[in-house]
This record gives sequence, C-alpha cells and structure tokens, in this order.
Amino acid sequence: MTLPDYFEFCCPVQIVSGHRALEQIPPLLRGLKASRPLIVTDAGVSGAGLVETVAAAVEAQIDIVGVEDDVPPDSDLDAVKRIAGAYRSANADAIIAVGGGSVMDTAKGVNLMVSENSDDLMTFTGAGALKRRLNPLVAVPTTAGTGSEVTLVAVIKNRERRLKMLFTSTFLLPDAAVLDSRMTLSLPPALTAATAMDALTHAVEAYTCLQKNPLSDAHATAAIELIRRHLLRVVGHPEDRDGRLALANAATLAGIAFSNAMVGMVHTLGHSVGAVCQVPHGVCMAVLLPYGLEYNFHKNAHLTAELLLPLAGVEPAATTPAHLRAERVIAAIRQLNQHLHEATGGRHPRNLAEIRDRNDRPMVPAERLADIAEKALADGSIFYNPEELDFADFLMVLEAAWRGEPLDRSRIRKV
Amino acid sequence: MTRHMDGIEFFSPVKINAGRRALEHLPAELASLGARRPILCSTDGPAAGRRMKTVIRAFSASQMAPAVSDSLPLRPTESDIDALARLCRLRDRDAFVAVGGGPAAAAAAAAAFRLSEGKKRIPWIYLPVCMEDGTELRCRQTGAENDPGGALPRSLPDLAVVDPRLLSWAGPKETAGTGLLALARGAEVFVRSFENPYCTAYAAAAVQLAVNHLQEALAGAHTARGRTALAAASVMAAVAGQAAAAEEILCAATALAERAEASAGAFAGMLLPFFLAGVLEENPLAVAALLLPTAGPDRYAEAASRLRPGLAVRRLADAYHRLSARRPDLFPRTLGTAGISAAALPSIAEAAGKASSGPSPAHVMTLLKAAWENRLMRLNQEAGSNDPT
Repeated sequence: MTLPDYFEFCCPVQIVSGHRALEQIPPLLRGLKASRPLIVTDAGVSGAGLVETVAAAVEAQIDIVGVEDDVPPDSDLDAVKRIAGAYRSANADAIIAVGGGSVMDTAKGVNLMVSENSDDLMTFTGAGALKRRLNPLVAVPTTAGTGSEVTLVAVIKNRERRLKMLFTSTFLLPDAAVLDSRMTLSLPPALTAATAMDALTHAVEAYTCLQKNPLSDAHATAAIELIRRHLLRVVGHPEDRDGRLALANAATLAGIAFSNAMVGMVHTLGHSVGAVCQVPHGVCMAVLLPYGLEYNFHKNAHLTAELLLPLAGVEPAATTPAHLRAERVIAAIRQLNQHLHEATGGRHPRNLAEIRDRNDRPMVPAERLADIAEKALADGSIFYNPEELDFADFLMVLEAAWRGEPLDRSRIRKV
Repeated sequence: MTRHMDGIEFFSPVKINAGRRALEHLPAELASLGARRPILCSTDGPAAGRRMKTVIRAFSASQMAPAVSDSLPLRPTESDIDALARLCRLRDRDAFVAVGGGPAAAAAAAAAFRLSEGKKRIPWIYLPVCMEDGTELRCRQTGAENDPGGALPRSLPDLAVVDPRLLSWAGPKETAGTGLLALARGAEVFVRSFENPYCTAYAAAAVQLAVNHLQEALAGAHTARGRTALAAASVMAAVAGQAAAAEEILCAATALAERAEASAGAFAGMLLPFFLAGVLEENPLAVAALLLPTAGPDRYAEAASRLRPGLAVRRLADAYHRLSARRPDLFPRTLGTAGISAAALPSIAEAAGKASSGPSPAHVMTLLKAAWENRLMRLNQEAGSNDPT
C-alpha cells in the first residue's frame, strides 16, 4: 500500500443493510426529525411493485405524504421542478428515493431546491455552492451498480439550454442508504450483470487511477471480492437473497471507493458511448473495462496485478507469477464477461458490436466510433486516468473494443 | 469465506484529510461546514504552543482569524468545558478545532455538543498530534476528571486532519504507541465485525498502514511519511472502533498503563496476539483473513488455509517483539517485565470494564490471564515456529 502525499476520504452516509432493512426507514427518519416523507421514483420501479414494498414496510410507522413516480430515464430540470412543487404542496419534510441513478440524481436536485427554497438550480451548479445541510434524504437503490446512494454528485439535464448541470457537494449526500434484498430480487439477469459490472468498474478504476488512497483501496477490494463471490451465482439463481444483498453492498462499497478516488478512461469512454449511442452505462463499463486496464498497463500494471486476489481468488493469486498477474486480471474480466454472456443467453455483450437494442438492432455502429472519440475529449473523468489520451488514442481503443479484440499495446502512445 | 450482510449497519460522519500541508485545507473545510470563525483549543506548554503557531500559520492566507484557547488542563473538568463553551459564545465563534487528542479533543467535543443542544450544530475538527494516552482514539469516550467513564455525551468530529508538521515532536514512545494502538484496535474490529465490510474496510486499512510503518517509529525524526501513516491509521481505527463498539484491547491497555510505566500503546501491542488467540476458536475465518492486511496478498495466497490464523497472530506478535527487542525500556516483553503482578490483574480488569462502552471485566480478565501465562505456544507450533513467545 502506497500512502499518497495527501488524500481526503469521506462518506457520512449511514448504511443499513438487510433482508428487512426497509423497516428501518421510519426510525431513521425520526432520528433526522422528519415524519412526512415523499417517495420519489420512476415508472419502472413503480410498475415492478417496489414502491408498494417500501410503503408496506414503513406505513405502519410513518405517513407517506405522496409518491412521485415520473422520473425520466435521464433526470432533468423539468422533473426536478415538478417534484419539488409536489413536495411543497404535500408539506413533505423528507424524501425517500427509490430507484437507480436517475432517481437518485433527481431526488438530490429536488432536495436542493426545496431545502434552499429556490427555483433556480443553476445558481448551485459546480462544486461547493452549498453551505448547509439539506432536508433528510433516504436512498433505497433498486439496482446494484451506480453507487449514487453514496455519491456527492448529481447530474441534471437542462433540456431548454441543452446542457447537463453538474452539482457537487457533501450536502447532496443522502443521510442514509437502505440496502434491502427485496429491492433487487426482480432484476433480470442481463441487468444484474450490467449493473454489477458497473460496480466492478467503479472499484477497479478507483484502485488503479490517480486519486487512490488506503481507504478507497480497502472499499474497492471489498467490493471486488463480493462481486467475484456472488455475481455469477445470482445471475444463475436470481432468487438468491443473500447474493442479492451482497451485490447491493458491493455496489455501495464501490460507490464509496470511487466517490473518493474518482474514475478514469473507462468512464470517459463509457459516458461518451452512452451519450452518442444511448447504451446503458453498465453495459459500456462491462465491455470497456479490460481495455482501460490494457491501455494503462505500462503505468499501473503493478496495481492491476494486486487485484488478482480479490478478483480471481486464492488459487490463481498463489499460482500466477508476479509478472503475469496483471495480464491475468484482464483475462479474468474478459472471462467474467464471457460467463455472463453465456448465462444471460447472449444478452450480456462482450464487445461494442454485440450491443443491441430491444429490436435487436446494433446500438453502436462502427461509423459512430469517431463521434464517440470526439465526445470523450471533453469528458472530465479522464483527469484522473494514469495515461493521457487524444482523439487517435480513444479511437484506437474503441475500434478494438468494437471488434472485441485485445488492444495492441505496442501502439499505445506512452506520455 | 462468505459474509452474510443481513442486519449490518455502518456510520462514520468523520472526514479524514491526511498528508503534506493538510492544515492549509482547514479554512476551506471550515467554510464547507458553514463555519467562518473557529476557535482553536489545546493544552498549555511549550510544545503545544509551537503546534498552535503552526496551525495559526495555516490560516494566514485565508480571511479567517481564529480565536485561541491554549490553557486547557491535562484533565479538563466540567467547569473547564463550561468555560470553553462560554468563550466560544463570547467571541462569537462557530466551530472548534482541537489541536491534539486527549484533553483538547475531549473538551472541544463536549463543548460543541453542549452548545449544539437544541440549536444549530456546532462542528468540531480534530488535529491529532500523537498524544498516545489512548484517549485520542476515543472520540466519544474521552474522560474528563468528573467523567472517568465517558458518560458525558459527545459528538464525533466532522473532520480529522493529519498533518506531519503536528507530529514531528513525538518520540518513539508516542509514535510507536500510536501505531500499536491503531494496529490493535484495527485488528480487534476486523475480527469482531468480520461480517460488516464497511467496518473491516476501515480496520484493514488501519492494520495495513500500521504494520507497514510501525518499525519506522523508532527511526528518529526523519520519517514524516511514517508518522503520517501511523496517525492516519489511528484515526481509521478509531472510526472503525466507534462504529463497531470494539474496545476490549484499548480498555485493557489503558487500565494497564495506569498501573505501570509502559504506555497504553505498548500494552495494546503486547495484548493483541493473546486477544486474537482467544477469538480463534470462535471465528478462525476472521483471524485467517487478518493475514491479508497484515502480510499482504502474496503471503496470504501462498499460505495454506489452515496455517493462516496462526501466521496472522504470529506476524502481529512479531511486530511488537521487534519493537521490544530494540527498546525494551519502552516496550516491555511481558506483563511481568512491565511490572504488573498477577495479584493486580483482577482490579485492572475491573477498571477496564468501567468504561462506558467497554468490555465486561470477565472478558478482560480472560485476556489478561492469557497474556500473563503467555499462551501462544500452540499457535506458534502450528505456524511452524520454535519460538515459545
């Protein structure tokens, strides 16, 4: 373990995990001096009956003053304003956010607006604009991947001005993250795979990129080990409640790790593939993760090598010579993608060309790769990547990832 | 090893900033907490004065002008805390910065809590200086004179800032003692809260940092990185210990230190292997897993699984014995050489059990007896060692 010259670490979110963790929400809210929560969620979560599960778990102890279930797939300003209005009309004093990343971002935006009693979110964009605690916010994730229940960031689209507003503050952090196995039990295998690979990428990039520290490392390796132990089993046996809970905790641990250590080029490219081709984030992460490790190999192979034990287990770690461990980590991730591909009947893609929409049409045409590379140049997450990339570098990585072939490391420009 | 995560909880509001020029981040951190007029508090004396000047200099580039209270006694009473709270109100201050553990942290925490009751919460920040009396690791349970068991309610700090400039004064006793306390507390949490990955993440980081840097503590004054690592490890172990309420070794070591010349850190390092040997029968997987942060992934993976528990205990015993071999005056080999008699053990166990969240005296007595009788022979034999210690 290398101690950086300087580091910061923070996660003041109370974690509650269990098969009946939802029942802890009322005492959590009472501890936060709140008694009139509004549930914020999306139609998918609501349609899956998860809001009813939450309501049934808490209603005997606390009154839910309303349910807003129209959060769009990408959180936007209109939704935030609409739900903030509902919050005020219902005289709510807390939010229970039930959903994935978009719901969490929307809930953070609503909480900002109602706590600051403002209708102009733009004045709070950027880092450090908030100066005081917001109203109570309890996060109940329904996917085990994004980690947004423990991140201090919210991204909200302003469609009118065609921009994404980024908000960063410790005050945006939820007061509590409630991880309950009932919330992810119905997640389909392909979505389980993609969201877990999102969490794995958070952990691996947190461990191998530039802002790592001893605490982010410890959270990252704990997350990786949990994913190794439980992901394939849960994809094969979706009813595995203990496995579901373990994956939910892995996502939260990985979220804590990357919220403090940041991420690198896998996210840079993933954001761009998502923006240009509307590919789900977890799918992008799964495909691109091995390529990020290959590209940075000459800078941080020693760190990648250290992940062999949590990622592959004792036997491979003990029998693989030190100089081959980083290669084996990359191979293990490709192998995991292959296993997930087989376990999901081919729905989990192994390369960009295999990513298909609901109508079985390719989502990432080869001719869009240049657009994706162009978009990646403006993504801030590259700042913490160990190696620099320009347009040609991004395109080279994307072309290899599209074909599903290992990166030719002799072509990497070493800065 | 499969962990079952049903019914686990974790909470740590403490942000940790550690490393070079960490103090210079204080004004921005205070601002982010909504505070602009801090009061710095410490004990009196020349060393405390020098540290206070270092902290004040860190504010020079900011608009903040901190007030100072630099005459806290070594054992602050209720009236000292009242006086600090009054000074805070009188000078219109909105945050406490405790320069040092022990009395400064205890007083700042208690005064912040008192002023926050029923009102807007007053934040407080903790700047560790390796006080090495055991109390700097106990954010909630530090003992004012009228409050030996820590019954006074106190809040955890919002921020702990570890800056090597505040640690440079400390000698081997304080520096190694801090590392040993971090190691013991981290290891205790790791095995006691093994099902909780959040507790074990903090604990594993603390153990790894402490093991890797402990021997540097005797290397003299030129080990800023080592000191920073050990002080950061102590904060991480404190966070884990608070969350897990695992304080058996700390309470026992603190009680022993009150009866002998050796420090709480020395006793914690001495007791740790015996504590782990006691846990071994009920949770061998947890002790085995401790080999990973203690010895690193290579040795962990290469060791046969049945040998891992013994190797973990052995390695931690070795860490203490290496210090003991170099400075037996500071780190006595056994309870007997530290001047503790067998007859004193029951009263020491009783004293350790008086801490508010402390262990039962019976548990402490079992630990002390194991250490007194030096019961590590079986483990050492299993781990392939002929050394009876």
